[in-house]
Amino acid sequence: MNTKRLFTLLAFSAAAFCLGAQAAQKVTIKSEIASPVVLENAQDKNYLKISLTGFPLEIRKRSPINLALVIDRSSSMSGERIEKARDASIMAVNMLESDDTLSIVAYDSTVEVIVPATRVKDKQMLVEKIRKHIQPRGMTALFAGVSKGLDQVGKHLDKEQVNRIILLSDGQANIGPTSISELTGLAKIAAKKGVAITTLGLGKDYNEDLMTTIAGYSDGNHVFVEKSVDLEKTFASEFNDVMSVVAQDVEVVIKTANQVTPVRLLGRDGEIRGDTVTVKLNQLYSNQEKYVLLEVIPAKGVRAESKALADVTVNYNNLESKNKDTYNESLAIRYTDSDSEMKNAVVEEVLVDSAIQKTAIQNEKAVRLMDEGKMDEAKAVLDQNIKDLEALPVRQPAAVQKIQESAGINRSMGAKMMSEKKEVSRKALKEQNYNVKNQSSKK
Amino acid sequence: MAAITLLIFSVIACLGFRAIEHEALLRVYQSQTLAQTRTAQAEDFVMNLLRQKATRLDAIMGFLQFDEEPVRSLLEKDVDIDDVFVLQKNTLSYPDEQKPLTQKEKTWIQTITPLLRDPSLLYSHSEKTEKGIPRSGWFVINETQEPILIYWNRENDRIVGFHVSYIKLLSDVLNAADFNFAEDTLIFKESGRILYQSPSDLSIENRQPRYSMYLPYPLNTWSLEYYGQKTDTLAVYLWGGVFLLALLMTVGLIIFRLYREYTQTARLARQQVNFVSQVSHELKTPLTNISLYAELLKEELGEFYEDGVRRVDVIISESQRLSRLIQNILTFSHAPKIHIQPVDIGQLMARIVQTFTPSSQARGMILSLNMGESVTESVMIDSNLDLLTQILGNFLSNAEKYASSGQRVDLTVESHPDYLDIHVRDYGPGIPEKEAKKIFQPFYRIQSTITEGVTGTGIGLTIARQLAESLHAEILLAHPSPGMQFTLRLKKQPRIDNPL
Repeated sequence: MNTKRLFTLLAFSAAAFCLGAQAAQKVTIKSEIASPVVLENAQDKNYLKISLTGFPLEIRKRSPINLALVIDRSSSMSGERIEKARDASIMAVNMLESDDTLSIVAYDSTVEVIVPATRVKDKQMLVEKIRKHIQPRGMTALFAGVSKGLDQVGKHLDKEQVNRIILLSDGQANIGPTSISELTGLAKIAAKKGVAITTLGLGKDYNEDLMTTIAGYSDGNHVFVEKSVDLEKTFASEFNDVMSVVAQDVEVVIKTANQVTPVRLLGRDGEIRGDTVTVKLNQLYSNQEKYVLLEVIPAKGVRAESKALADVTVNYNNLESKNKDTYNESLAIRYTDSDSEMKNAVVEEVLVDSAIQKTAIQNEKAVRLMDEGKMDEAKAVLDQNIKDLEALPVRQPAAVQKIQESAGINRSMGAKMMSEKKEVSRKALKEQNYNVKNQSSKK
Repeated sequence: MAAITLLIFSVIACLGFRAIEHEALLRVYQSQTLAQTRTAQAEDFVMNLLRQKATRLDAIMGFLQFDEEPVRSLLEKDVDIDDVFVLQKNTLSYPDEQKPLTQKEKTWIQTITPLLRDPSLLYSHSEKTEKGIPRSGWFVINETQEPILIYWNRENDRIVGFHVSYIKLLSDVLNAADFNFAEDTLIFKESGRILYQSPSDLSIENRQPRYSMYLPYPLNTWSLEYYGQKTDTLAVYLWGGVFLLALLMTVGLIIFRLYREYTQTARLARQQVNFVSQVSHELKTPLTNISLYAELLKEELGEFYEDGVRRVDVIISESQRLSRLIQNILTFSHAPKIHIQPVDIGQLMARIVQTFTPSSQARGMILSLNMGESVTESVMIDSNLDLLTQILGNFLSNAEKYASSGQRVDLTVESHPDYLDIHVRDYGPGIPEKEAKKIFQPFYRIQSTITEGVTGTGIGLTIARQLAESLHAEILLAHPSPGMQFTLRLKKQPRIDNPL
């Protein structure tokens, strides 16, 4: 053997070793207050933002995936839809590796486990099964489908792998339990087990309220796939997410200080017990920011005083280092009598985020108005959102850009509402809102 | 004949139909039992899931500290439990209302308020035992949008209630249910909607309900319905009917064949008899002339030609014998009309003895008449002289023919209070007892050395019996040793109907 080559090989392995030995990467956590300096004796609403950004991850170091594909094969899927669903499933098989686990569940009037949870080794066999069994027929037993999917994923549950269900449906659940609350119950069980359910709504006939709620409770993604040709693209982007999970079981606990009142959470939901606010995130993705936004009313104070606002604790399972990481920070605010000092201290990005989350709350209203048939009023809500966003006194380019983006989305939603059918625009709006609330940057 | 055939047919048809009906019923019953067994199996399956949950919760009870922290982390992780309440001496100790509560906990307390006020509601549904209040059990609140299922466990002063996830139960049932009854299907319904349906090869239209039941408390809103293939009793009736028809046809064919054989024989016999009676009639006229001229000849010969008279006597007696034979044949083919008149038995017997003495003597037999002591010279019986003569004549001809070896025939008359017996006893070889019954059948002749070389029509005794019956008299047989005794028993006050 060539000595030169041997050396290069040695050098490479040493480098690899050094890389492995270097300090494990951690999630970047920032705790910020919208107005860290407030006027004395005033009790204006303030916003606390804890942002979590996943560290970059090398593809070859990604965590194993435990995935269940739950596919709707009711008769409404006939034609191009079922074809695309098959293609997307086959693509999923091809993207997985031998230490990943895959199960495939198809549901119509009843449920069939086409592939029980197995390691992805014999891809040819899996592809054949998909082609053979994913054929349209019958009704939509959505509950039973998700139930079986959860059962399959649950057989190989492991904290160190990414546990996920991808649910594809193009219609209303009409067999077995069908109500939102019942399917939500199932999503809650999934969340307790640490399994995220991503819901893909195909076409314009699925129940977007149901699909977004399921995804919301278990912290999965929700995508409105209007045209079945986009299904593969959606699958690819979903896989991109699933493969870039860097942390799981994330718990953010905010304990507000004396006399500080936690009012509400904007966007992501959580639990408020007295002065303790707990928010859970199922996972964090590499290079993606997720945040928790809490509206608080601070305590009164006098000029030049500094008071504690809240203690923030974040726990998560680091999938790279396989450790449980903890982050602690105490936040305080300062009091002033100068209006300009107060304004100069404003963290514009937090202010913008809180404004964007508020537009999401407004948009839920717009959806309700659409349901009542008041399209013009719904459009007016979107227009008001744009005005509110643009009225924000911000100067920093990043914040300005964020406002423009959000206003742009509101504008295009408004346009869609006028040009497209109601069921299409409603789905688009629901999806948009879901993405804002959960900060999933899809599309 | 037609009536009997009809009867047989209707009995076969009736029994056959009942058998088919029974078979069809049996099929329905069998499928019913199968449905029942399988439904019970499914019930067991669901109730087992519930029992497993109860066992698990009992185990959790064993190690769990009912403080805030451990309970809260249990709720966070356990997928079976939605909420928990702990009653310590009938006051709520978890969730602790003194401490800040989440929205979810507040709703939970609100839901269970009636139970907190009156915890005995919890065991209102449990089976009452003599030991008193049970220690654990299920409770369900069905008024809510989604039923609230509570498993409670009582220990000393503490009652712990677990809000068991109803959704998890539904999901467990769906995941674990693995029934496959080929053509049949089992449906789990919950509050009227289909929860689970076992796969079936048949479409819904081809199924019919077989059995259904409700599950026991706390799942009393659940029902199990079993659908099966429509019981094909039609096929049973169809094939059964075909079989029955074939059976009836076979029986009909057999009866027809038998009938034809019978009528053929009967016709043949009748033709025979007709022929004989016609021939006999034809024979009667010349015979009468022969008898008449023989009598005339006898008178004319007077007492001068003794030899001639003896020969004429033979002609007369032989023509009398032939006349009796012919009379027998005619009687057999045409029943005679009977005129009842008083008959002097003494005279009758004397005449018979007189008539038969020449032929008996010719065969070397002695004919002796013995009128019993009880018989006075003139015993009168209401009867018919000709018929009595014919009956007794037949007895005597038989004795002459078959018992000449005995060389003696006794005629005895015995009078009893109600009846009168006339015995004709010979001293011949006699008749074996098993043959005795058959000798009255027409054309029957005993196959033995007795009949060998003896001519006879085989209808003598048949006619004797027919005539006796028409006079309401009886013929009795006795087997004295040696010989044979025929007895004609005449009723003293006979009531005589017209003959058949």
